[in-house]
Amino acid sequence: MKDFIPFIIKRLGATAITLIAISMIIFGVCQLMPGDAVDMMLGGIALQSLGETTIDELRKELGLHLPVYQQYFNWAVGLLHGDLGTSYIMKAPIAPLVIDRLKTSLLLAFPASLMMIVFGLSLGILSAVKEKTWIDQGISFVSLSMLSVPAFLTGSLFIYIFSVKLNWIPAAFNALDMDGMGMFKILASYFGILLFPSLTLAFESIAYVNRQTRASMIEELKTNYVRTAVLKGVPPRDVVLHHALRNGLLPAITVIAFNIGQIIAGTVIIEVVFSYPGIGNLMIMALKFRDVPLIMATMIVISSAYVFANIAADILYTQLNPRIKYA
Amino acid sequence: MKNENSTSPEDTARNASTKTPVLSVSGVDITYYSGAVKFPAIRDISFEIGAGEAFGLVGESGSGKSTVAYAVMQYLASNGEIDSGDIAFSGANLMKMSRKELLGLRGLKISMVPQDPLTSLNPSHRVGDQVAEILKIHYKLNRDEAHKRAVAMLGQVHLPAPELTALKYPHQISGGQQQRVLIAMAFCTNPELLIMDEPTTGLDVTTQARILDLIREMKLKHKTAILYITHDLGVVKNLCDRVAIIYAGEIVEEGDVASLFKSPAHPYTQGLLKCIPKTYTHKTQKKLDAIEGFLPNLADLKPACIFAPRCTFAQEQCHQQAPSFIACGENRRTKCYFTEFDAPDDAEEYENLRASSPSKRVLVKADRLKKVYPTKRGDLRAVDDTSFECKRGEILGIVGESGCGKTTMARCIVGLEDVSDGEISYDGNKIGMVRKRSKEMRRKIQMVFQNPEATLNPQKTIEEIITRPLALYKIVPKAKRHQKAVELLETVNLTERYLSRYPHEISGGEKQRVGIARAFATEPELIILDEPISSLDVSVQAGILNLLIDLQRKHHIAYIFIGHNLSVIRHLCNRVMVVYVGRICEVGTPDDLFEPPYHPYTEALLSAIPVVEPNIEQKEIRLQGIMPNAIDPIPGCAFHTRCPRKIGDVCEKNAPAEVEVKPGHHIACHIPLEELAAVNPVFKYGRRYVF
Repeated sequence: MKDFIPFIIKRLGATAITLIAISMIIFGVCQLMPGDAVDMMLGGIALQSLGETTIDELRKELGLHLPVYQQYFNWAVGLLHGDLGTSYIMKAPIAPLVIDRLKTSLLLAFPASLMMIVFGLSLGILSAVKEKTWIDQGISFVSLSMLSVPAFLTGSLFIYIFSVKLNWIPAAFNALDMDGMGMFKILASYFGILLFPSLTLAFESIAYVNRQTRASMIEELKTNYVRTAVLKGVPPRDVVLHHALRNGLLPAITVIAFNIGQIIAGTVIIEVVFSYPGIGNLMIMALKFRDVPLIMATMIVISSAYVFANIAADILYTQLNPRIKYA
Repeated sequence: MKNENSTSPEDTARNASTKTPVLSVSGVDITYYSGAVKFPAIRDISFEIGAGEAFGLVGESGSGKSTVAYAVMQYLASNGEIDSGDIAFSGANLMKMSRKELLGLRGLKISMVPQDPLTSLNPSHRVGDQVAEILKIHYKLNRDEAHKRAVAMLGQVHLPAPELTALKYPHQISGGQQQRVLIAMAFCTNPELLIMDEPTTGLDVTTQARILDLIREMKLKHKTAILYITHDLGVVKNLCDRVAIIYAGEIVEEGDVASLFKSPAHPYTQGLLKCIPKTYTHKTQKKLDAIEGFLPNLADLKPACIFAPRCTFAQEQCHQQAPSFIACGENRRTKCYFTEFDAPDDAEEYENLRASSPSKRVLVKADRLKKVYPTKRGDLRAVDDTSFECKRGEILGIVGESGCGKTTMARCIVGLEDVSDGEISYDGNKIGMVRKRSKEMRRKIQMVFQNPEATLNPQKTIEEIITRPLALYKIVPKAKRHQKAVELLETVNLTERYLSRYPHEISGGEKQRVGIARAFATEPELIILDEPISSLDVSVQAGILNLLIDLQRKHHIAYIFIGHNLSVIRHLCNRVMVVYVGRICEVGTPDDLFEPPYHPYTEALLSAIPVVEPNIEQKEIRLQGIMPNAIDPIPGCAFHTRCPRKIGDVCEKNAPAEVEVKPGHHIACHIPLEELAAVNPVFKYGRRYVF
């Protein structure tokens, strides 16, 4: 345990390096896009009508005349101060906008992650306990199907059945006004609406977590210490949940963490399919309009969420596994 | 006894008169199903164990002894089935109990200590919690109370600092301590029946001796009935009151330990006892009697004596009809037609076992050898400034507990490890790691590894495995390789038909023979044998030992034999080194080692040997504590932390110098030689007895 604090510090240090690398890649990719921000802001036609001097002034104003490394540095310093820059198209600071959209996205990602953990683990455990029975085979069949069908197709199917045919939920969220509503109220009133997008989002991950949990639990249930537990008189339920799961969970956690990242990344597609006003949709819009600061901001936020999900899993892993060597 | 499952097992146990045996197994048949094939693994097994009695069930691998244990626990593999017979616990039929009844019985009235302590403990739970769990389940104790009682129990099994140990995870304590935790778990509910499945296999002899003491102590204290399952006759003789010998799923002989070991009746029992090198084999200088042949195929049983195909006394009738039990003395029975055998003096005597005496020429010499492994906590000194030599044609034994550095020494000589300091010379020339050696040099030194399962490539046939070194070192031209491979197999008593087989198709003993044939293929001058027989059954061990001696005499090769069994070492070696934490305690001939003066560590090792011979008195010396970690610097004598004969500060401060007892016999100890020589010998032989 005494090694734990240095371990956390080391991990956070590594995370910082990862984030710096990511920010460089994102910045670099945006630099590679043809034309610069001014071209995009003004559009091709307007450009000609304006004088070169005006454009230069505008460039100066935006700091685009500086060398690339200087631009990156300014942007990165801004990031550290919570300043994500100003959107060209919205003509507004990006930070509040992104945070707002991030919240809406998390509203989708959070239940999705929860579903992944609950369904993934419980189905996995059930499969392992009932290994080679029809229950196990049924679960395997379902999860393989979940893996094979892409999310946009599942989403579209849900919309077709539940919106178009059954008319239970609205097909699009554009009409909804979420301003001024508390998170909880949104959650309550839009439970039905959130259900299908988040389920779609969770689908693939449920299957992954289920497969991993099944495999590791089958392994654990065959170990000598499980035998010891049975022969100690531990009731079967506790043998599975208290003894085997404690160890079988470890590989599953790695998969869960990875999939939380996948879910966050997956919101982009799901939000488009369900026209859901989250950060993914914001990014797609930014890309459409080539709003570079907004593109960079949404990308860095989504990547950071991914990175932090993984570090959280790493730390949890060391806490659950006493054998781990902090390195 | 049969219709008593209407009452609860607890009531039955309480009401049972003292005469009801705690465990009664009668006429049990167990079959394993593998696809359409039936393996009758256990056939008609009956025995009873009374309160406070320790019953040993002894058999080799594949004999079905563990199957019996798990059948009693009602925990057979899903493809195993008890076809007939009764298993009754204090009169209550275990086979007719519901899951719920069994749940209340397991861990409370019937406990089990499994083999392999590390994997049998949950790696993610603290050991204290694992003991407390039983108390919580069976006594409904709350957390604190259960913990308190668990700690007290850990103290009872003599774990150091029980409060602290309780908070540790299994991987943080030693193998012996893990086994103690499992024993604490088994005894904490004061069970009426305790089943132990090879609880000391895999532990060092010194640790084993202390665990056996503990089991004996707990048995006396709790009046527990013990079913002790093992392959080790020595352990049974030291611990049990009665013993049954099981062979291929049948009990072949049963009786009191004292009388059975004195006059074994069944040929199989006699064979097993003959296989084991004795503590005085040098006096008889006989070849060990290996039991030839293999376990019968259970899927294809014939109505005959199960042991007949391997029995040297088998008559016509033995192959026609299976014998039933006959009494052979008080409380003894044997499943054989005969009780007396004209023991032909078939044990082939060596003219002189060690007469193939080594020449004076030194073959390999280690000079102030050091091997250090850097770790995060500091340097681990696996071999700490040791010098030794092995002469041409000599069999040098290296003994010591696990982790003492004996394997590292061997690996340095073969060149698998680079030495940190000092040097190794061969025939006077310095040699480095394997990749720096010439091909000729590599050919001269070969190695046979401990685990034959893991050292043969599963994808290659035996022919490919054996001809590989022939091709590599161009021992014989390509056209003659097949012929040479056949010859090599014949030297290890295997036949040509093995050539086309894959390693998984042959038994463990045969694999080790192939390993030996492979080592001999390069016509080496030195073979390092790293515990080549410790994973094999005793009957197979004897065959391999005989083979090694024969080959050595024929080719006049030098061996460095690493082992932990002093009896085996005594049987085989010309000279022995006793090693402790990377340093040499004592060097001498085996005879020197077995008689005073002893190094105190040698004395402790000798006293920990579980001997099988009757009429031997053995001194009881038990080493406390565990071997110090070679990472922490050990000033003075490495053994001072555990030495029962420590004389004072000098042991802690100064490393002892080697004292010459007589030419070739050296002891590194501060105690004056006269005092070392004045002790009683560890073994006191009564009437010489040869089986």
